[in-house]
Amino acid sequence: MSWWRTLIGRGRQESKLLKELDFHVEERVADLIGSGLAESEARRRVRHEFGGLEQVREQCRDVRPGLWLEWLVRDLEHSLRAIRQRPVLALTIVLTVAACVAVNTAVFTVVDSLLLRPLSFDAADRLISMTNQYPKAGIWDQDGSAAGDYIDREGALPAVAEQALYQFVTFPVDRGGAAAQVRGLSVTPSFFPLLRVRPAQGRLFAESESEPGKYRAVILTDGLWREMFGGAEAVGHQLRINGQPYTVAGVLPAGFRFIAADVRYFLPLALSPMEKRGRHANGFRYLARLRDGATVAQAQAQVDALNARVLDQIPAFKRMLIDAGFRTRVDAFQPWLMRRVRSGLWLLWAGAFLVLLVGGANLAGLSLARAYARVPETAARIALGATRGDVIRQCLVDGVVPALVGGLLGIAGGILALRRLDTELLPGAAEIGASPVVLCYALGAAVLAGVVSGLVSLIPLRRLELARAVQNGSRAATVRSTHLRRAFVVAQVALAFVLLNGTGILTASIRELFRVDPGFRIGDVWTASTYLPGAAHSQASDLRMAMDRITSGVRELAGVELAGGGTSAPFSSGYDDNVIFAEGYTMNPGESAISPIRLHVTPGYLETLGVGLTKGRLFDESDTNESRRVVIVDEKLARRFWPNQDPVGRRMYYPGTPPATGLTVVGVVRSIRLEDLAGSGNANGIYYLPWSQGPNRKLSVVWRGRSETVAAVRKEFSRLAPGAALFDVRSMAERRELTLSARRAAQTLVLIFASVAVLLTAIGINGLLAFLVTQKQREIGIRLAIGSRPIEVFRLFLRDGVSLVIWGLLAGLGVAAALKPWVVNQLYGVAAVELSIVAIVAALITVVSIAAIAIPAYRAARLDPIVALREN
Amino acid sequence: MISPKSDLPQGTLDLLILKTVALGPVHGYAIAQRLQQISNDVVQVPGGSLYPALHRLEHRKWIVAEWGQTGSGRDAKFYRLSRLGKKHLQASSESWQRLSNAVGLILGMAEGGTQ
Repeated sequence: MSWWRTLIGRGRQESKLLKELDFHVEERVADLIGSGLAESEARRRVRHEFGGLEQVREQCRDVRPGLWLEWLVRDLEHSLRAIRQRPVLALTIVLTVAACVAVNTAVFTVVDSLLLRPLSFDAADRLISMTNQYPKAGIWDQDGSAAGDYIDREGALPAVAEQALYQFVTFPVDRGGAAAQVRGLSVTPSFFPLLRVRPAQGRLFAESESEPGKYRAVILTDGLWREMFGGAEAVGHQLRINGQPYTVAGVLPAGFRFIAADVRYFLPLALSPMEKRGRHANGFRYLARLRDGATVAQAQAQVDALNARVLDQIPAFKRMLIDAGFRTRVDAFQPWLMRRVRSGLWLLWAGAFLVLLVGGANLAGLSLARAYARVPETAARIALGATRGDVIRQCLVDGVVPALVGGLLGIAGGILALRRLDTELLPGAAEIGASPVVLCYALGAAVLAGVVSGLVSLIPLRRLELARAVQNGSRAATVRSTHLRRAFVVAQVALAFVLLNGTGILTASIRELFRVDPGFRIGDVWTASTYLPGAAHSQASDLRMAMDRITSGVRELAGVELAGGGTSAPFSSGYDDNVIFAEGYTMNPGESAISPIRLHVTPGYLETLGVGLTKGRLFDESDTNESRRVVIVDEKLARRFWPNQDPVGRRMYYPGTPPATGLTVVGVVRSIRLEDLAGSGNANGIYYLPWSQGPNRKLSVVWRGRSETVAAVRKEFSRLAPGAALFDVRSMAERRELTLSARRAAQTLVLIFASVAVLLTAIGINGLLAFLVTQKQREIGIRLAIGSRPIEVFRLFLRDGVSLVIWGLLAGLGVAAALKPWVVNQLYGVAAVELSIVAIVAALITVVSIAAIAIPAYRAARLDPIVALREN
Repeated sequence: MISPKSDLPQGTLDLLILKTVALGPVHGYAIAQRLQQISNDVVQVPGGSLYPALHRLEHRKWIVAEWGQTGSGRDAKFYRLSRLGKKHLQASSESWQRLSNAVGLILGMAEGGTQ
């Protein structure tokens, strides 16, 4: 213990004190010797007169104002002694705080990183996004803008200082070895200056590099540079991306990341003259930086005005776009990026906070019990001269020390847990990381819990109670304390109910979703995607040949029953949509055109998926580039355009093209839930076109067969499509699971919250009942002595505990019902309060609670009346 | 022999020390000796009472301590009265006088009731 004394300069003071006392003793001894005593006798006398030197020192120390650290250390020693006396209690407190803080650290890190903290760009709060929406055509929340908008807006919006377009790409990347599929971004040269990013090596893109096919430059992230070049010189060296040679122009700083951690390289976005004229072909994302002092609302007004002018330039589409409710939405970039996860994250944080409250109630209850148990001890300390300040300080230290230990454990646990959580699904996942704010929040929560539990333990020390305690021992003071502890238990049960009910409704949602028939086959269906390599503007016939080779190659593999290809597999995202009209269908005045999902598929695609044909035929080998243009519609489109009529043989056409040259409907298929089981995404239906009549570089192969076929397809693929990489190889069941992953993550988290809450509640109930049994020992003794049967004593406590649980459940039900407006949009097919789930949850909590009550109640029933009476 | 802890009324020891110290800088041992001499051996203050009291008074800034040398050349801690201590000494000796007179009056009453 001497280290801290030296540390605070106490050693010097001590030696001075010793010197002073020594002087007194020696003077006295000298006087006594002078009066004729022998030295040994003189010393004996002085020892007797003066008192023990050590005691005197101790007393002098006590009157000194002591440095706060010295007090603290003394209080800490006292706390440690108390912990050693009741290690289980201390451990319970530490683990309670650790669990609550861990949960809160993990969740709050995500909330802070994505919602509270600005993105890691210079003046990120001035970044805005613009997206084109057509709400009346069923498109009200898509991500894109058109390249034409970018051209139109250049210099036309006073509120916007800089603008950029970007587009996610996924290409095989290699340096002559095996190619890996890597995600990157195509960006206009303005992109990096807009984000205020400087290269760590080399240069950024020049304006001239946005000319199509002009240069082939690539900028690497620090991570991809290290992976591909091992940290060696890269600028000026070549890489192969999508089979084409690219020269490394620059490498970005190590900390740079844009939205997703897996975006690892940047290519110049080369807009073709056609793309530059394209309006409402919303294949690009638009990012801009507001001028200093300009607001989102100003940018919105200016874009609205610009759009109105542009509409006048395209009279052919003006009516249609107005009917579709066309508007460009301007949003601050970060809130826009997080718009789909925001409410879910807040709810999760609320859940984590509930866990914290449950833990806090436990802590308060335990501290209160401990404080009452210690009333005689504290009373004795006060009688011996401890001041009010001493006692308050001791209580606070007793509360804060275990809370702080638990808090630190919890922060470590939370950060570790977060690494294990699959946060990649979240937009801006690259930004997730603990910050000082998170640490302050977590430590603050722990310290607050500690302080509150310390203050709560002051309750029994009010003057009146102290007086009583001195008179009667601790019993008289305790009656009041159980009111508060009962309230804590009721609150805990209520919060545990809310969390467990949350788990229940999320689980039920997932079960309901699993029951949904997406309209296509899941079992034995496999998917894999690729980008067909080749020069940027290679011939459509090359693509057709590549496609034919791949699909027929897969089809011929042993074990493959059916196979086909399409622009996208089901259960993906980012589907293409396009406005289409039906010949003979007259729209009502003001009715909007619709933009259903458009899929290009080969013969075999719909067959493999088992999408039911209701009229006409599916595509076959007769649908070639040279044959007439054909289309298959789903039932939803058929019903809209040709209610109660046969669509087969009817024509469909794109806006701005004559109906006579349009597409002929050859079949009608069942509607499917393409994007996910909940049927989110485009609500307008789907139309399918033959791949041969509109080949695309992006290809998803689907086939039906046993799992062995996957290895065969992988093996065969390099021969079928040299230079292309296969990615996203999954069974359809896996894809379905992926569409549920956000719900699963939420379910898992809430389940963890609920488990912690229920466990803490059980500890709380158990603690209260054990306390009651100890307090009422005398009463139990009397009851048993005058003839009560043990079972009646047992029931007495059981009834007491269960009534608290029932009140808690009722309160929890009220809270769950009140939370409904915030919860419903996270659910599918279940209500926020579902009777069957409430029943299960209530039963579960009751069973756990009864188990927690039964242990102390049983102990009460088994008390020996003689012993019980004697002990008090 | 009176041990102040048990028999001196509370606060009295502080008053006695202040009075002793008021006479000039003095070390702890001398204070004890002087109290004993002046009180004709009635007041004997053990170190366990004297030194905590001295340190308490020092902390309250009623007395000020300085290290110095005794006549015999030994290092000792000398105490003297501060201005604050002087005020306090004055106030409390007055109230002590009043109290002591009052107690004397009461104790001086004839047994058996008031006259």
